[in-house]
Amino acid sequence: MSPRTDAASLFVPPFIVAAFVLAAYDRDRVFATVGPALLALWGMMILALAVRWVQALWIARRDPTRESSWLRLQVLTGAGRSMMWAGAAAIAVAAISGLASAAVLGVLGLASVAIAVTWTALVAGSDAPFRAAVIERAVLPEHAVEGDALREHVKVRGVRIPAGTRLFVTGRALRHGAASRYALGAEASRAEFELESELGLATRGDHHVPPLAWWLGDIFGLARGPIVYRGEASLTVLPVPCEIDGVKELLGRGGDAQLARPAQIMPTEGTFRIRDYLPGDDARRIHWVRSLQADRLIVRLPDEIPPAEPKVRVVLDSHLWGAELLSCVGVDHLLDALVRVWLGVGKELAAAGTRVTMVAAIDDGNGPRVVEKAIGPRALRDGLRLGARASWQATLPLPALLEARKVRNVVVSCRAPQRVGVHPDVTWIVVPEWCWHVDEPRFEVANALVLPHPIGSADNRYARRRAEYNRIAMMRRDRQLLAESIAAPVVRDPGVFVARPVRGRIALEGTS
Amino acid sequence: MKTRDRDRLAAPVVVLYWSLLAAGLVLYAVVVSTDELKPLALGALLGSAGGTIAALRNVRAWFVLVLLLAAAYVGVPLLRANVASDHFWLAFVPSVVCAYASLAERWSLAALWFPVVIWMLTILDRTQGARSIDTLGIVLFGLLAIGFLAFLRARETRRAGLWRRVAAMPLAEPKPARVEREKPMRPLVRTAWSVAFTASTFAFAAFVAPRMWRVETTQHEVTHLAPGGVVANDTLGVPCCPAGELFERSRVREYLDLGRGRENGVDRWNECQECPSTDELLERFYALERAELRNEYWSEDIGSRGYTAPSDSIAVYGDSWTTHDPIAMPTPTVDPSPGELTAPSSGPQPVTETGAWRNTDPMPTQPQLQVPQDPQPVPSPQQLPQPQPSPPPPLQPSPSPSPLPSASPPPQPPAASAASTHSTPMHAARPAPMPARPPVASEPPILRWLTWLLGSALALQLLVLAIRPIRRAVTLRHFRRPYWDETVDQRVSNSWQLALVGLRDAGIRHDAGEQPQELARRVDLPELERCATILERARYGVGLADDDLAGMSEAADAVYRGARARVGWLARAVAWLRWPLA
Repeated sequence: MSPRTDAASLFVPPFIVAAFVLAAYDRDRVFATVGPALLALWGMMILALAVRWVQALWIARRDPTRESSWLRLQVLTGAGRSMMWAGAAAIAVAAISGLASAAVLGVLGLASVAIAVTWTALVAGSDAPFRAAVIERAVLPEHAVEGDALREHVKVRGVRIPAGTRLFVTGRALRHGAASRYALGAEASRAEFELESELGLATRGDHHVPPLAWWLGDIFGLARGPIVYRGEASLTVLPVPCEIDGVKELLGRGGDAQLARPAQIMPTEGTFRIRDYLPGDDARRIHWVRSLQADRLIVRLPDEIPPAEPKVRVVLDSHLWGAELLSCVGVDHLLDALVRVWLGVGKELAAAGTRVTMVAAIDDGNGPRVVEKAIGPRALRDGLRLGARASWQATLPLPALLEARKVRNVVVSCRAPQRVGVHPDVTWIVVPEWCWHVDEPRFEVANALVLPHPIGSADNRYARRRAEYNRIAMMRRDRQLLAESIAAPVVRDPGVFVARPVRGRIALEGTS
Repeated sequence: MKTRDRDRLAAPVVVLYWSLLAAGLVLYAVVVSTDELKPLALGALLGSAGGTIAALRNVRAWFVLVLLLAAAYVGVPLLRANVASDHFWLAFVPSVVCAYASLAERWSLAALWFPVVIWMLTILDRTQGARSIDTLGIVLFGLLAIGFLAFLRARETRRAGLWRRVAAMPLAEPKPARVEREKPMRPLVRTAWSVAFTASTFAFAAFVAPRMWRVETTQHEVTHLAPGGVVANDTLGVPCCPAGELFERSRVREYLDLGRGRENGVDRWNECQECPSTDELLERFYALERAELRNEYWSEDIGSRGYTAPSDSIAVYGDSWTTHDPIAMPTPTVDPSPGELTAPSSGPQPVTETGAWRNTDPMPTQPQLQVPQDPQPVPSPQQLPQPQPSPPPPLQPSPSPSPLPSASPPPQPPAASAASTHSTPMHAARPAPMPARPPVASEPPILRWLTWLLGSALALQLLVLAIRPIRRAVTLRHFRRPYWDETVDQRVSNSWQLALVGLRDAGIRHDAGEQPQELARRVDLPELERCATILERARYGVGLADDDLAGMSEAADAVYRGARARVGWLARAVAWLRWPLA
């Protein structure tokens, strides 16, 4: 509801009540008693609000970045609005029908709303209660790993909670994570208190935790003060590398740098190395010319393929246009899966003795840039940190991450290679959907006879249900869009591998 | 959300709603107590139970309304067959809706309407048919305002609980907030605020609401008995002269037509005189007969020539209540020819059983209503012929009409019973009218008991409050120097409790899961660390030195004094009223 509409729900009902009462009931007597009393009540409320409005206007003129002064009039809660309108209606009913109970209820309702609004506007109508507050927020553990149980810990000191009000705090630490909500009574005014809640499992990322929203509401739920945002935090959740099988296949026929492999050539080919014949040797390898010269049997040894290139760049392909705009859960899970496979490949290669450099495009606030980190078999920390900071970006295409020198590039991507048009010599790992599949939330169609949530919950409102339905529908549409943008048939090529989950591990399978 | 958590959150709201309803019914039963109490209470309780169950089962509102309509569909024929009273349905339908709304979102005001109606029956009974409340009414009104605000607060507490636990989005599992240090004076401030808010709301409502009440009146005709208690009936006892008395009742209008009203005028019982002659007696008989015919003529609406039933006149219990509403009461026009009543030019025209309008409302703007003349040339009960000066025939031993013995008048019956004992053939075919409220000569015993009960409860609370400093002094004395022999470990624990009491006086709370050393680090009192060290040694069975017990006692006392020295004298004084101590 806009601030002006909210203000209208403050100003209109008393006028309607006065009009009904004055026109339909008893003009003279109401003018003498009831009218002035209601007018005084209304005036008291308006005066308190006007003070806050002028104060906010004054601040907004000095600081244009501050919120609109009209927001200071947004003091009525949903219950307050309904009670004000219901009170006005009850007074109108009393004026028309003369029912004493309607008069009592209407006056009690209007009076309680007006007094609550006045009090809340006076004591909680600005950010003054939070000015002296010291708020320390942390999401623990400080060094989290993907899958760890997170908890939020907020330590507060000096928040003024006036009598008759209650402190409400809410926020969401992670993008698709659980929202935390707290409510405290006035006993915590200017006190030191701690708030804590379990946030669920950590998801990979270098998270900037947005501030919590703080506001004060009266204990009858009729009015509330302005919302103040305090308590930012940051959280880095390191990814967990996958256990990957078949990494050696990525290095081509050379295998790795430690052992040479015999070439698969005919036994009569090759002339470089010879030795004496030993029983059991293939008779076809006997070098007859040398044997005659030496007067003993000499055999040829098969050729070797020299050791593979010792340096490998493992590149994370995080270029996907519009990914940051997608609201679905899948887009985040896809990147998490890519990072897990990317790190797993790097870890396995490093463990096999290859010099591995992890490459990714990292956005540190000034736009994406290429970041390279060398890792070793026992020095994965830099790679993990790099993986935690990886995010979707649309600025640096994959060719910008590849190196033209004679270095083997292994690209971990969600797409088939032909869709990005890189050099065919690049080894390509496709991470298909079965590696990261996660269901988007479904809208639960409620029973026609029973409310979806306990009665009294605000989420039973039609408008909120509709908004929730639209939100989930949008997520599912975005998921469809994501699937269409990354889906492509994988070409059969010796340099293209597909990551496939097998018994809790990832196996790289060649497509040739 | 688990069902147990949901019910635990809803319990205070349900309990408060039912308390308000039950208290209203009990008050009505003990203060007013009419015959309609049973169907009213039955309808209210059954309806509220149904509404509460539907709400706790999260049934949608439209389905509740459908069920209600189905119940009404079945109930209306029962009503016509006199199986269920109309008051049962008048109570049942709104009680279902209000009980359901008591747990629904945003309907707090509508939810309280039916309990308020029940309370108003008792409060309005004390208004003497005017827009003023007596002392008991004010007390009840105050209790109603407190109940109203308590209900709002309970609803908001439940809403906040639901807000923390229920949402379409995933919610984090919250842990209880831990307050480590608080301002010692906060409870006093909160209490003062609650009292001030309740008082201001009550004062405003008590000032404004009665001025919006509407007083409605009716005229009630009573025929006197003859001397000796002979009933004037068809067998023609001995009617009185005047034969009847016209009373006016007034009351404040309410949804349930159960207000007894206040009867105005004086029953001139002792002025009843025997009619002097047979001719006059016969004439009186014919006059009464004609009056009865005329009464049937109006009551059965067979002669409503040009009349329209008034929309806002309530015709229950045989009395037609008319309201002083300038809109709903157009001035009836009277035909110049006697006995001919013509319809008003527009709008409904209320009519009483005597066809007379009487306005006792002191509002200056009330239109002067004209009394329509009887269409028949039959004298109204007021116009019955007075005793003629000629001597009557000797019906009685006394040769001349003699007034009833004024020296020894018969005992005056209460006005409440007058209506029933004065019932005449004029009302014989109609339901008995709601009795008028008896004059308040003295408060009923139940009100005295109620006042005594409230006063006792208040005194008990004050007594408990006054005892708290004594309890505290005794407890602290025991912590310092036990009244009986205790083990060393227990004495160490007592000293620790003494330190915690002092800390709590200063607003420093000790969480149950917090270790003593943690508390000592949090609180800047050096002696507390020594206390914590000795306490942990005692707890974990590490041997205590000889001077540890004395050291613990000294340190705890120092903590107690040091913590209390941090706060002002008022906070220290208020701390003597706090319970529990730590």
